[in-house]
Amino acid sequence: MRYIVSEALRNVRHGGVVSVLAILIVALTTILFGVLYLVRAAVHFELARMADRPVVVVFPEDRLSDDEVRAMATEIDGIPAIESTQVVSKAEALARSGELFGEHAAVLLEGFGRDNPLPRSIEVWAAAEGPEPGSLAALSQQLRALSGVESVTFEADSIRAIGRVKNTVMLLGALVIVISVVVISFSIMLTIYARRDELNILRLVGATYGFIRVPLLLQGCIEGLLGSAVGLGLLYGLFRNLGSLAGVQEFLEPVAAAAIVGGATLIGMAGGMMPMRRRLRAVT
Amino acid sequence: MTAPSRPAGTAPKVERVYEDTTVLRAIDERMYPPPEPKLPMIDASGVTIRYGRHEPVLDKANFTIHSGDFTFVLGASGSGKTSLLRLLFRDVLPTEGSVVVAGQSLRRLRGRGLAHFRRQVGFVFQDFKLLPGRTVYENIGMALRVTGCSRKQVRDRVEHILPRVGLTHRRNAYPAEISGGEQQRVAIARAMVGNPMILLADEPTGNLDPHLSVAILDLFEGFNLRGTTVVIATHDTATAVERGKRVLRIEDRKVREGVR
Repeated sequence: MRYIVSEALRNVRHGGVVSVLAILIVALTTILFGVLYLVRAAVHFELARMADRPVVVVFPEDRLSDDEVRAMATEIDGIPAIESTQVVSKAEALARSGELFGEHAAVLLEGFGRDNPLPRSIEVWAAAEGPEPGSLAALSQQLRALSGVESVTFEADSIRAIGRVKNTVMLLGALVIVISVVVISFSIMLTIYARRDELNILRLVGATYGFIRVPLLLQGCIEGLLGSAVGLGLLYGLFRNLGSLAGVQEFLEPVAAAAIVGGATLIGMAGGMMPMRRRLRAVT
Repeated sequence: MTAPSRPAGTAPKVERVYEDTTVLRAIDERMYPPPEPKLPMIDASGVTIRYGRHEPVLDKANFTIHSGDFTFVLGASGSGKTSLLRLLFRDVLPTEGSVVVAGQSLRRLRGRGLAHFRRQVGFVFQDFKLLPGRTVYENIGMALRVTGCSRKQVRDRVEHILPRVGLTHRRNAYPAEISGGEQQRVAIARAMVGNPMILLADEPTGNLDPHLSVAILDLFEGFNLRGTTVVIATHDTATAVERGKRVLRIEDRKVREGVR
């Protein structure tokens, strides 16, 4: 075992620029995955926050009576995509505004007592597990078509933005995983070519392919492990310096960090396995 | 058998023993057991080696080498000596015919089986094939490392063979730091450290001065006396004749017995 580890470390050391490049690429993958994890946590937090709020708010025309507004709410409640509705009266809207202004509410809302300018509204909660921008836009169109509806608002923009960030980071992550596997396999391929005479001699003195292959696989794992350690270090540096600006309060949980390191090690191993059998047979 | 004359004053008991031929025969048989019938260690039959579309190097050659033999393979440069040794090492396969070495048909050897076969056959390459980034000790130990020997086993066996090839003082040197003769001895030590059944050597004295050549061949004879079957390829007829060992010569793509 000691021999295998020392051979693998020797390969990494002698790998030179390509080994360093492989380690840096894995570090970049780790950073992207760390960011992806943090974005995912932020998205979940945001979606959970939005679950407490209505996804769509319908404003009925002023001319409708309170009974007509309640009838409209019942009608909306009957739409399959809707879980529930709540009618917010003018007085309730004013009271909520007061809550927003806190101790200054009394001063600011003093003049509104008799002539409340705030409209009535019907708050709508979607039945779907998580609101999607596309379905919300369709729902708002459907509600806008109802008679007596003045306007409809929904939180499409923020959901769209979160979705875009999530998709972009996932795409980048997948891309960098592929690049990592390719670069690590390239570094191991170069090791095989650089050491082809030595590997050939090992075969001639009775080494099995396994004896030759295992240190090379371990080389991939070590490059993955080192890369993920460097990546996590850099990610922590980013978090310490820019985390508060980006609104990220907590660094990766230990389990998530361990999963990223384990994943990077597996990426290294995959990179080691790719070129192995064919190249080894070719050079020995 | 005649008993030696009894010296004056010797005890009668001893005299009786000397005179008892049955006892003497028993002692003789124990000390000098009759030689066991030699078994074929290498058996090649109808072997043709052809590289690509070129003329064959060997054409339907037949030969047998027995266990414990010391054999020189003679031939001019390019006659196919190296090909023959590579054949016995299963580095090339015969285009036609069959080769059985140590009871194993070489044509069937693959992967792990081939690796295990090569551990039973030591090969001293003409160009030594030493690992440049490893010390003398590591180069010799490599032949044991690949078999899964522990560090202690490697140390014990390498330390045992180093003085036999006169390289104890060079154990930490790299191949580039030692002479051609010393490199040759490292290659021999590496081939022998695993105690193989067969030792193949390709022109082991080709680049050495006469004095060193004698020393190297003495070394091979030493291994042979301990039971290793030795096959040496050389173009030097005089050396082969001087040693009085069996000679196979490659001539006209055939393997023939003796020096012409």
